[in-house]
Amino acid sequence: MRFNSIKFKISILYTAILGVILIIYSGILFLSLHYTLYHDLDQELRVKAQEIGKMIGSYLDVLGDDQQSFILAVKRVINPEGADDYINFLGPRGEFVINSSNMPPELSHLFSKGIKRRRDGVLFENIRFDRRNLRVITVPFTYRDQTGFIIQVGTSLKPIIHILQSRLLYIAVTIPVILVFAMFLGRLLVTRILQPVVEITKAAQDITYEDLSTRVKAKDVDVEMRCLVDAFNEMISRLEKSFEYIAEFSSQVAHELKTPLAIIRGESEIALRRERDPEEYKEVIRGNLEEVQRMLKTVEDLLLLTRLDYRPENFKFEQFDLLKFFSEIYEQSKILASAKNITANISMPESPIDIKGNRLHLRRALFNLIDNALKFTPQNGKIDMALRCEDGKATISISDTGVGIAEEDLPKIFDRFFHKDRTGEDIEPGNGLGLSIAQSVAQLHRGDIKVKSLLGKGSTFTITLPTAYLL
Amino acid sequence: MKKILIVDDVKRIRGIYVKLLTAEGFEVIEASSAGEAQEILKRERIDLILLDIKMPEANGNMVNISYEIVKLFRKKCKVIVTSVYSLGEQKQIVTEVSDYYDKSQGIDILLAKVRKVLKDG
Repeated sequence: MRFNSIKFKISILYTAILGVILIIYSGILFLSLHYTLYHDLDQELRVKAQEIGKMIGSYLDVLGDDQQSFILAVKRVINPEGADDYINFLGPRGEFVINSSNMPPELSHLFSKGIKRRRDGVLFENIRFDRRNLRVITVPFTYRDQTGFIIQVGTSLKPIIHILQSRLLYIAVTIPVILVFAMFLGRLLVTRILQPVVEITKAAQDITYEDLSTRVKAKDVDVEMRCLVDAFNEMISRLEKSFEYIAEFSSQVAHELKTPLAIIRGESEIALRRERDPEEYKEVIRGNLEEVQRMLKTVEDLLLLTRLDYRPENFKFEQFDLLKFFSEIYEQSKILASAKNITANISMPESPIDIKGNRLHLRRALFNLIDNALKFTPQNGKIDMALRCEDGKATISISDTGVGIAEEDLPKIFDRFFHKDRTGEDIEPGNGLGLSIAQSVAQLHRGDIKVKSLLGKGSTFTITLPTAYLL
Repeated sequence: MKKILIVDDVKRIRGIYVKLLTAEGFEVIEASSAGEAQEILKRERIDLILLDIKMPEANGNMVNISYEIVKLFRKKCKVIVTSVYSLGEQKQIVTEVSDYYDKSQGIDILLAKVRKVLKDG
């Protein structure tokens, strides 16, 4: 067992507290027993002393109260057959008068010492003599004119000491036994309570990068441990999801890049199969260059997405007029649209709208939406660009009259690498990152992006951004 | 002359296969979608299909339709599955086809597989 373990600390603390309680409790019981035994014995001695006094009195009544009779009476009384008690009879100034025959002179002397401590009344004291402990009562004796005499009765403390000693022994033996037993039980209890911790540790040790499926299976545990176990399992679930996402994402990236690489390899190998005209080689190189540029764009977009999502603090924000910014974008969009014979309309308020943002990336996000709108809108269609400002929020929407998005695809369009195969239509596929970037840029500005679409009718993308006053 | 149907949504990939296989003396037909491929398969006798498959996550429909093509036509003609996925992954997605081809393997391996599959037939 480790000394810094909870199990050890709880066991020790628990046992120590129990030990203190038991010792105090036993001590009180012992003292109360001690008091009771002495009290009873003292009562007994008091009765004995009174009996002796009465009996002396009775003898004197019969024998007359001269000195001779007095001594005789006392002698009779203090030496009854078979008595173990020591009886000492002293004169008014403590002078020795007579004592019971079982009493050696030294003991008599010891007895008489006590009377100096006696004021008027009764005195109890303990006397140790010849390895024996005695309880001695000193009481005054008066008979008619005879005053100031003292009767001392001593009795052995052996029975009381025996009882107290055996009680002490009993306490000394039982407390450690109880403590050992309690410690054992406590350890069992603590072990049971801490069992989930052991399981959590084991689960944590089993969890590796390859296998995050392990969960702590602690059943029937206490509420607090249940919370810990649940929190732990939920954490692993989140980690597992993140790892799955990362693994899937890396695989997606690899496969996205594999197509252009396969094209470059295939085109190059075809070109090298036989001698060709320089023009043919040029054509292949141009094609390959296109693929390389496509790959570069994908890689750059991915890096940008990572920075947008995980390093937002690296983007500088400046305050500018969204109205002016939006009209500049509109002017460029008009040129792009006219190339495809598409009409671009704008609607926006007259008063400036101040926002704090990163112009470069907002422009990029908007052009991603505008490029999509133009890409999916057939010739002679139109796109509508609108800017509104209400409740401290600026709303930019880009609507097209294009092919629209199927309802089942709507939740997926902002996912990375989502691109619908539009075979049979003359649409150059993108890298599937444009909308992800638009979304990340909107989120970078504490805004969001939403889409509404009807298949065959067109789509509307709406970016909402907080204005400068809200930021 | 053996007739080969190329099913792939990427035009330049189809272009490479067309150039390669026509130069080797095969007759080649292109389809850019599974639907288009099914139409062609219904009206023409095809010896071999080079069938592009995608992972279910990326585009669930594509695999299902590809798989339908495999089920419908594998008795009539040979199928080589082509994809950017590794051969192991492809084998998990589609079974009971003549061969598998990873697009990044290069055209010599594709040609060898095409020849072998058609010769075995």
